[in-house]
Amino acid sequence: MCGEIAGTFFFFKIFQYVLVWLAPTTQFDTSTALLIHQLSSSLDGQSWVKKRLWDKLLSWDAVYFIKNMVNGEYEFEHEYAFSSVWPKFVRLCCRGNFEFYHILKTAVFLENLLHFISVILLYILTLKTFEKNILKTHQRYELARKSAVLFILTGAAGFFTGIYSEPLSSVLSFAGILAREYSIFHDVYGNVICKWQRWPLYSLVSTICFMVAFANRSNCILLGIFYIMDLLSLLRRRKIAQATFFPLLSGIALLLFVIFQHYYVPYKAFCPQRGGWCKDKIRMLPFTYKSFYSYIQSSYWNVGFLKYWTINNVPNFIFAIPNIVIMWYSSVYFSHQYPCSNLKPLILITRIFLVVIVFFAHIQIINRVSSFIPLHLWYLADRLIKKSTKKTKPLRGDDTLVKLYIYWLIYWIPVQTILFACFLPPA
Amino acid sequence: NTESFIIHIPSEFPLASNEVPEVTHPTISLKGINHQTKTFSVPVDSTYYIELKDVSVGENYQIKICWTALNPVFIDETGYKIVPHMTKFQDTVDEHNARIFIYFDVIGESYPPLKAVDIPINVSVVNMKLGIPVDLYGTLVYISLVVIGIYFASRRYRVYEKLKNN
Repeated sequence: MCGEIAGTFFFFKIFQYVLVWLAPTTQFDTSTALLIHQLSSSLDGQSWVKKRLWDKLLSWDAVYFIKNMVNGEYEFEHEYAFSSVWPKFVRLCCRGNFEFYHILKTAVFLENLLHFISVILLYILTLKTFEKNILKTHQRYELARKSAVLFILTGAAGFFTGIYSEPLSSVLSFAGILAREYSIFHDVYGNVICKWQRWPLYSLVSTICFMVAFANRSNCILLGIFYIMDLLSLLRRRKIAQATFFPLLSGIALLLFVIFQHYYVPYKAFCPQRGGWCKDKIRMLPFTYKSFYSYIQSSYWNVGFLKYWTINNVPNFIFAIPNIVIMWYSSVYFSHQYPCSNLKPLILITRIFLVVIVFFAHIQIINRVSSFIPLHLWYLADRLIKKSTKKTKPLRGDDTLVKLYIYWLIYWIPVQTILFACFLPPA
Repeated sequence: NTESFIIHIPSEFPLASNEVPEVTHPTISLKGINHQTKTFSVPVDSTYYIELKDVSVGENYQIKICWTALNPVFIDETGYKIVPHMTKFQDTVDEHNARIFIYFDVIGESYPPLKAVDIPINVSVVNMKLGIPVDLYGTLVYISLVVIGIYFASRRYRVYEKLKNN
């Protein structure tokens, strides 16, 4: 099974890199040459291979990642919007050789490796998550295989060929969810019961995974909902000891880490000299009321409630529609048609994620940042399995939706990969 | 990062005379070509002017200003000015030809402030045909070919059916 998934992954990536290779070398945004000139030493010659392949992978936000990978630190405050974990990890793997193209090649290799690891983790996570649900064993394996293949064919498309931080978050998110799944079980009423002998898996492994996932991509803060829902479930049944040492402890650790990362670290770095946002200080504490992340997103990228809802952004809404629809329907599907008690936190995470993306963020980023949530992949995979057993019936409802989504992927992935390589929107 | 705008060269714009003065200010020439990209070292927090040379009358051109996000600036107040001959503009004068200057403001936007006095900016002047900049034709043809290829491949290999049944 692993070989089949690996084969699909390898074939798919080769296909994408061939598309990048064949794409015209004249990019719409011509600034990559300026970036390379500024960051690369004079010893790094410009070869044909670099021009045809490597340089094309430096589009859009890749500039912030490669800058941090080369310099090893932030220079300006707005750069804090981008993960420092991912560049540090790449630098660690570069083992002291910080030549520009060596860093780039290492980052691209790691990007693909992490994507592959996340595919395997998703396969295992699917088997574990649906262990106690109504699927028969062979269907469970089928669901895991199809989910893994669908995650290879991700709507993130071209971004996963470059040096973006999302695959690292996918690995950490899936690993954290998996660690939690292994350390709890659900009774017949759907209540959470924590296994004491697996406390380290829950309170150490899953918490650390979620923390690093959050440090890497801030939307992974939503993974904390797992702890909130577990806490409520345990408190309802007065399991005070379990509630304290499992979700409460993990939740507090995650919350403290969020405060440290988004409030304390920037305050220490910039205040009080910075002025501006530093002035909103909470009494004697070294924090401000407003999250630094929200501040830079709002100031530098105009992120905020309904700020993206303008006529010129209509194309970006269109780019995002397939994933918005499929994610919303996946939350409805696993709430009503195929209710699974252990999926309740993921359903809530998916819904809150959609609200944030649709009303606050640059909506088209859903195609890549949704990669830390597996719910929609399970929805697609489950409907594909159910449809394959009812061959004669015409497509209706969910199945039509799934078919349309798959057809969208078939065209979207190559087109978006080319657009990315040519430095054309959507970003 | 990219900012772009479109300019139309009026059909009554006088053709250049054979008298070509020596210029010391920034220029982009389209002599014998339909698009050109040049890198300029542009002072931060100032307005920058570039003279367009050898453009054709009655044509539309896309002006594309690209800079790397390594240099946190934003481009504001883009546009163009037509300067008649014998008219002094930006301490330059051409006694024989009317001139077209494009301009844009480069504003530093970062904390801490950008230390660099000048930043490199690529400015492209691209002739437009059928409302599309000519340098995008290659990309559009490539995307079209891939989409057609995908259409035939998906009919032949039935990806949806394979995903469903295998």
